[in-house]
Amino acid sequence: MTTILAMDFWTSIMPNVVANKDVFIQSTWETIYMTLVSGIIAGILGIIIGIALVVTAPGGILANRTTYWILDKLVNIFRSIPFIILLAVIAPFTRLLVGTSIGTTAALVPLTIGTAPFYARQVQNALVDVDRGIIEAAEAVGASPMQIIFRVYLREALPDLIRTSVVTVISLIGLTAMAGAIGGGGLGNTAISIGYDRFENDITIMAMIIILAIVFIIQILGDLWARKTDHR
Amino acid sequence: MAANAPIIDLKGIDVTFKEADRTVRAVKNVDLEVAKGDIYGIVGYSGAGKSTLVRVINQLQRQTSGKVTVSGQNMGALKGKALRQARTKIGMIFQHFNLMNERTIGDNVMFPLLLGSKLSRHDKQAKVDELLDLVGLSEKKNDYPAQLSGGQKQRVAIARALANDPEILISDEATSALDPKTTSSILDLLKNLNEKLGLTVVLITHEMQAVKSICNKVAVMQSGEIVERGDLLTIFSKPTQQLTREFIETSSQIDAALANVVAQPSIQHLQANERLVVLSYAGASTDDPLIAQLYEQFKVTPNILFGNVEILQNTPVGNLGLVLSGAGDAVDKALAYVKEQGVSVRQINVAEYQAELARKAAEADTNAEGEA
Ligand SMILES: Nc1ncnc2c1ncn2[C@@H]1O[C@H](COP(=O)(O)OP(=O)(O)OP(=O)(O)O)[C@@H](O)[C@H]1O
Ligand SMILES: [Mg+2]
Repeated sequence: MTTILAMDFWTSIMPNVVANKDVFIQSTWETIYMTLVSGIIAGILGIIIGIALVVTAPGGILANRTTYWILDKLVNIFRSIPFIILLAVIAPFTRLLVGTSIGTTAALVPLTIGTAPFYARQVQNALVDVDRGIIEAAEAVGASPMQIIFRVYLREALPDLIRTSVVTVISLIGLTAMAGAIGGGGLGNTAISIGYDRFENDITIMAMIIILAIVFIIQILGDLWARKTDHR
Repeated sequence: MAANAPIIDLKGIDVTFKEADRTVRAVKNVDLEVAKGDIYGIVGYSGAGKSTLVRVINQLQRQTSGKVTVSGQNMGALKGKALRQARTKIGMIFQHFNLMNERTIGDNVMFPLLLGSKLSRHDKQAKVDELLDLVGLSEKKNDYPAQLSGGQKQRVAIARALANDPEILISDEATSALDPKTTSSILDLLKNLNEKLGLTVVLITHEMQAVKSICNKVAVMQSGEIVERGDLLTIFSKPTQQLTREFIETSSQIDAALANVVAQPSIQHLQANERLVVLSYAGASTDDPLIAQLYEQFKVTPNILFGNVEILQNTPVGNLGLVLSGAGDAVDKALAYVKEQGVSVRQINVAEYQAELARKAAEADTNAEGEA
């Protein structure tokens, strides 16, 4: 009885949302899928590149001018390309990698490439903030470069890494909204190609509400976790 | 390694930093021998090259030329794993402690044991407990560095530096960020470790007070060179370099006393037969009734202005400011006698000394303005 009443309520204020319930479930799932998969791959790439930038920088534990110069320039270039252009430019590469240049899975490639350099910079900034003296103390007790990376840099920078990861994931969710341009689906696509194009405003608003909810949840969990690990 | 070979042997060490616009020769052809069991002080003003020199010992800084031998090993030839292994036998502590903020006190001390120690998990824990006990911080094991005072942090750093049972401990300005009371407790701890574990300590500092309280040898550095070195007593009672004297005076406050004395009218107008002198003596000569002799043998009257006695390595070292007056060349004869007794004599020309003070004050002013 109450559920029927509640349904009536929703049908009256968001008629199109209720009619397109399945579309919302589908596109929410697409957004989560794109964020998760490209987030994990870009996360791994970003951490590797970020670490490489820090250790090869002048004065770093594995200082190497050439490697640093190349990485630094690559990161800058890829960060400068607007995402919507990146989508189109790397289409051939995407086809090579996943067999198609349209669809949700195809969107993973530009999302990853668009996010990794951004995250790499964030990781670099977090690691650079680890006091040089702490690194030196570790070297003085005989730690190897790998031990310094895993047991000192990543460990000491953990609270900052969590915070920057949250920022990155949120910006990644923003990028997934553009994935509709290559048929990637997702909530952004639903908002534009259904809500906006067909003047069904309640769909646009609902898509926004779901995205905001996801962002808030990630932000709150991230903050809690960062605070829990931070002992400075 | 021969039984009496120095545990640290630096020969002809040069370190040059090349930067885009300039090169800095931070260490210039330095030889340094530290014997096992020494507490070797290295003093000098900021920028003298002290840190660079000691960082060469564990090769955190590679020398541009010269040879570094530690416990018989040619450090310059070591790379990778062998170098890291050698470093575990050289502990190091720093001015800013350099503890890991995200690890507990216990885990900070554990850190060196996680890098390849063959001890079992249980033995590692036991080692950490033993070290924390040694530095008196057992009850802080589960706290984080942010919860500790500076002195406590330095104790943790010492425990960490000792985790691999090093033979050598390098202390780079380890007490410079601490208050005097905490400083002396940290120095006492180092002295204790030196006696208890036979630890050889290299102590860098710009505070002569620290050297005075625990070192048995001292080297004075200026612009990348060691300008004077020797055992503590000799350096303190018979310094030969101006810089050494400056460091000694700042720690004994003889300078302050002298400045006070020369400001007095009676001292500014000394008679022809009067002389202002500072006598410095170490050890046995303190026992002789020297002052009494001045009058009995030479009929010279000593007027005592100030004095202080300090105990360095169980030996009294004293400074005495006097005005001597006597007839004819009696004062000269008396001073010659005093020197024969192994007491060093510094005659102060009041006018020159005042001019010198004025010059220094002006210099300090310009420096302060430059910094402001
Ligand atoms: N990595 C470096 N690159 C360039 N110059 C350096 C480097 N390290 C030290 N120097 C220079 O070498 C000189 C000696 O420095 P060092 O740190 O050894 O002095 P210090 O005696 O330890 O001084 P302080 O008491 O301030 O610690 C200084 O002029 C310093 O600027
Ligand atoms: Mg220094």
